Amino acid sequence: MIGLRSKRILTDTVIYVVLLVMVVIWLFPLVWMILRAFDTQTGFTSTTVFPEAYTFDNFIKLFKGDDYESYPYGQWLVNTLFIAIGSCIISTMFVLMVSYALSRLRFSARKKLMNIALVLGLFPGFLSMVALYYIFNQFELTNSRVGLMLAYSLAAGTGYYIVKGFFDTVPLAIDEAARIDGASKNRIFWQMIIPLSKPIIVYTILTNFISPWCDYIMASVFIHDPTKYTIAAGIRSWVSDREVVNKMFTRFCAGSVLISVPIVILFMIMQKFYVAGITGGAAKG
Amino acid sequence: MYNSNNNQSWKEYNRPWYQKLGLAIWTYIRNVGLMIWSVIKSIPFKLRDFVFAIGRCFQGLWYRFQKGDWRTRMSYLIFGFGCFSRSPKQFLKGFAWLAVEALFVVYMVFLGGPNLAMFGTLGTIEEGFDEMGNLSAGHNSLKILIFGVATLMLLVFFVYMYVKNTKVAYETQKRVEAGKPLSNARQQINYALNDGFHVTVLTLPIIGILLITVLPLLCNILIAFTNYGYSDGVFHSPPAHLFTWKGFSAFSFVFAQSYGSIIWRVLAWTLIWAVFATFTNFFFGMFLAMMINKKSIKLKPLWRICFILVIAVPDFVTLLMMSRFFGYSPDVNLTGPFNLILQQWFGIKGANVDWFGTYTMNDTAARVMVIVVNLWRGMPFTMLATSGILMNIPEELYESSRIDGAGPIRRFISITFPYIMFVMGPQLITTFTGNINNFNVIFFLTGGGPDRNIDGQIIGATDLLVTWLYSMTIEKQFPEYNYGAVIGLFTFLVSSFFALIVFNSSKSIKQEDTFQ
Amino acid sequence: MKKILATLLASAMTLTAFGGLVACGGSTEPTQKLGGSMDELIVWAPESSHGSEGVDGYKSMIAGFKEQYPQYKDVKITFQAQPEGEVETKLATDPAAGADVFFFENGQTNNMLGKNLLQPLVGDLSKYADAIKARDGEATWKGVTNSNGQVMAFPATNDNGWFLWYNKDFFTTDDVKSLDTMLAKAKTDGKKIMFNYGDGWYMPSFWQGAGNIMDFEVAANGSKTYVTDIDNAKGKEVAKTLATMFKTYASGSDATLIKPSSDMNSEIPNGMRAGSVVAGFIGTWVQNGGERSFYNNGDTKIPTDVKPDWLSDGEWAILTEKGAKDEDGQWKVNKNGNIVDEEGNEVKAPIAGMPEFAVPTACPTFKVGENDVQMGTFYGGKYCGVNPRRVNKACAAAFADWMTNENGQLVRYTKTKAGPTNKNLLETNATIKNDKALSALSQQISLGGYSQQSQASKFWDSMAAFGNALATKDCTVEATLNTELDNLCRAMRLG
Repeated sequence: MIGLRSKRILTDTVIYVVLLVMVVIWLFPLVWMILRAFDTQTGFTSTTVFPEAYTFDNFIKLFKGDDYESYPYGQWLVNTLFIAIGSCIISTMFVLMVSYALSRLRFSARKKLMNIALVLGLFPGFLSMVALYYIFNQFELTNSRVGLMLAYSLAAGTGYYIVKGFFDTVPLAIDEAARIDGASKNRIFWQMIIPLSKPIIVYTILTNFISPWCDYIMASVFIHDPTKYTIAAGIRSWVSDREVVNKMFTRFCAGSVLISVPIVILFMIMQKFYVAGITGGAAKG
Repeated sequence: MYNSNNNQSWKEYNRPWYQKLGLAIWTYIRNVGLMIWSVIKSIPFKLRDFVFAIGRCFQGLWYRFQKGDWRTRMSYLIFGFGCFSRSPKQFLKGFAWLAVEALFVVYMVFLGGPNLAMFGTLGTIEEGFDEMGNLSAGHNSLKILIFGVATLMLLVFFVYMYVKNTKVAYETQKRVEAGKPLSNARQQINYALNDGFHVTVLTLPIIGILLITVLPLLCNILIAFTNYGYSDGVFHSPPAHLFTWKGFSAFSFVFAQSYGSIIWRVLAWTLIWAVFATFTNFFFGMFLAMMINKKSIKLKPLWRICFILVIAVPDFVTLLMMSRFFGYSPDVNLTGPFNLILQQWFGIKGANVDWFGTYTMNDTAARVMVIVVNLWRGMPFTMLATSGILMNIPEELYESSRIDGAGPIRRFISITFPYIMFVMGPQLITTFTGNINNFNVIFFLTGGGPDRNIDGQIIGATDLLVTWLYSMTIEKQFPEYNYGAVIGLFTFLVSSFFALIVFNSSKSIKQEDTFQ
Repeated sequence: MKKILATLLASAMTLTAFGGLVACGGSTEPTQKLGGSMDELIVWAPESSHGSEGVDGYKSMIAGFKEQYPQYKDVKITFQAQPEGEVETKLATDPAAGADVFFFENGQTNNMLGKNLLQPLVGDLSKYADAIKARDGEATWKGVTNSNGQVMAFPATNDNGWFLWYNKDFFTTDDVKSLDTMLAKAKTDGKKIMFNYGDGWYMPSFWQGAGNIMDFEVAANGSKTYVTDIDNAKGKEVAKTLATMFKTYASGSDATLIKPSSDMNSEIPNGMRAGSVVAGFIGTWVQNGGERSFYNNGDTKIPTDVKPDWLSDGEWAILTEKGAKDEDGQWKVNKNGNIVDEEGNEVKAPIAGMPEFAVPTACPTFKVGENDVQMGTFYGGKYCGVNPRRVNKACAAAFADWMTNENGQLVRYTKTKAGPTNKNLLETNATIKNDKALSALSQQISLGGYSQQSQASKFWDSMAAFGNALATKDCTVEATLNTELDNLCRAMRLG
């Protein structure tokens, strides 16, 4: 028995060491970025891995400074927040409505709609960006925050899978009982299903809130006016434009750290539901 | 399909692994083939059914016209007439129908009609400056194309509504003739919240999808048949120039002429990338989850959170940062942080590697690096998902196998792995198609580079079909929208080939009713 | 009664609608949609790598403009930084949403004309065309004249070309006459020569010098075909020479001939200063020996407590040490708006850029077989265009004129050392006449300049790919070289 025990201790030690090494590898680049955010140097090029002196300047310059007019990070933050909240509200409504219809209601075109949604999801998203831009242009919705918000959210209905999967697990008996009591389908939706589905609604709200913070392409194609940019469209040039990276890199780090903190917190709340969504009912054993 | 195979292999786990793998691949190819064949086989029948349905539709129209009274017949011209002319109770319903017609007519007059009229040529008048330097207006081919498609979609919808309208009018007539009471406004609203509730909740989302996804998509399919974009020294694009229909010339350009020799190269790398990106993430993520979930390991949530941090940060941030982290400069002192670490912390003098190969044109380095960084970025996702599954594997399974004397490897092969595959199988294929279209990782890390000239075409070693499509259409001096549209369609075909499996085997579609 | 009313109403609605359909159904007359508004002006100006002098310089001219043109004093003029090379792309996606006034490079001229992105200076605007013809060098305004003889944009600079900067302590004036000598000498000492062979603007240099053609040929009916003969005997000879040169000097980790890793505008001056780089091929926009004043007026106020980003640490140190403050704690300025010290002299700081020992000169020759061939360069100017799809064209043209007239070009020259096109400036301004970089450029143009209005769509990328292939593949193998050259020509001939 002692042999078995020492073998277990040995394997555990090996696992701890492996995990520790992996954690270091996985977190090191992030730590590097966070430290560079406090660097007194502004450019990318540096002769040391970590900064030699630290300051809060990069964070301050995000919100005020002489080049604020050229790089209005604060304004971008407000834009992104506005777009994220608006698109989150519309998307969540649409997703819940579609999921409810596809999960609880039985009508002739139901299967067809689900299949069509699956097919649509297979086209690369920005394939139709040029045409979409032009359609929005007709309604004066390009180069506009509201336009971008609508572009993010109006098609949200196709992303119903996870929520529908959740609705599917709510027993039909609840609906039937309510119908016998004379409740309309509308009331069942609002008063029975929605309250029962709080976790999945939180999940939907969070995913839809987070996604505009992470999108670059749509924002960069739809918006021309730098004051209307979202964060992603705005700060990308700080690191990818060769002429700018040598004066903006550490500010890019600061800007990234600043938006990452709330997103990370929201993601931590969301990830529980993410697991449930992927594994579906099967994970329940 | 995947699941049923797994159910079999549950029982047949004593087959050698390579036989199982071979069998699985063979079954997959056979099933996809069968599926495509069954779809093709059903086309004639579907067509026949479609023609019959249209026939029945006209038959019904004519029948109701014959049997209808003058109010019903008026409905053939004025929507909702059969409703609002019969009783004030039906005003709401009748005028709703009338509004549909009025809106359609207004649309046709101001946008639909004129644009549809030019749909065949996509415009004839070209923009230009007059003597005084004023820019005279020209036709906008893209506008004509988009509104032409939108009008066709609306026309189909209008015909459907037309038939429905005559039905409603005739039914109302029948009710009156039978002496039954007509529904009032309150009952009509009640209908919308009950039996017709699916229409109520689906209308807005579907309009959204039609506007944002379907309409642009159809337009893009049609763009593949035009000369929209730069060719022969002219930028055939509104507002300055017209573009027009060119049949299959863009297809022949992409598959046979100029792009013919590189599209297969790009496809090959796209598939290699998708396989590696999917399976490295899957297997490493799984092993990581198993290590963390081992019973005797302490501080499980802490370990997990460390990895989750990486995926919680928006990906454009982490990827852009990684592209710089592995930066390179020919000057050994000005090189990127990772090279500096090698120099300063590990004492490797003069360590200066062009990790992404974009400077030294090292294709292999670039390809390996995008897969490695993708592993860094994507593995925690699998870890997260597998952790959930591992915790749900019934303990009895392990107990009984332990009694049978199975070792840890044996237990992994016969219990853990099949169980994970059972749950993650469909997800794995979705991830695979997702990786075929994985724009962000490539775009932010290498931008598709290092670029090469292959048979007169410039293509990056890490370019996927989607990044190629991007570099062809968006923010370029010479965009080639028509070729981009062809490549988009091609990408769709490739990913749908793999998505077919999920399509038919997904639990959520097949077994949903048994769940409830 | 209600019933009849409803019926009438409905019939009326339907009839009007159908009547409208018949009446307007055939109307397909297009209408021009203009963007912008009469009380704002958006200007795209370049921002240089070492600060925002380009934008700042022009910004400082707003006040004077509004004084000169009182009718535009309420127009809100907004500057947005936009690299000149990207203007065509940015404008073409949605011209009406672009800027009213923008700066662009000569290489885009033909494309921009083809896309109707430039407002012709005719009709009400013809006075500006006349002014341009009177004040600017003929070659420069001919460069933006369309086939009908209409001037399409305001010439702003004529310095869009490059030449050689070298370390005069390392190379002698004889050394820099031959690229082969320079490379051999640099290699012996382990030094670097920076030449951006991964860029289509630099790489064609060798063929341009040898007299090969790379341009569109316009037929009598206006159709364009791309013509190149870089794969003829002469062109192949050049390619072979390059293959040997690149194999010897540009391959491997200790290469002598290197390209910049990201931003050559900072890598060449920095490398020169550090001593590792002894020569670099670049243009007038990195200058040396200059001094700058600190303009502190209007929209470009310099704060007294924090360093603005567009000042370097060195400049800031000089300013805080020497600059005087008035009773409000603000910088004291003279009548030109420049910050002064206690004695009333303008505070001046050396401009970051090329070190003092870097000297500009024309590009060297290289040996093809027994012959010396001069390296050539693209050259041209930068222009200021007016967007024809914006409503505020009159104001836009007036402002474009204001920014590119004699004073405007002087301001840009002072801020960024951009060579002017203004004849009077070139003839009378002593500083400009003595500008070493500008004279190196004109020397280079006279030796091997190649003016071009547009290039084949795949030209830039395929040239870059060829340069990279030379450095990373062994192209002295004839088959490899032939494939690469063949691919290059095929790409270019696609037009």
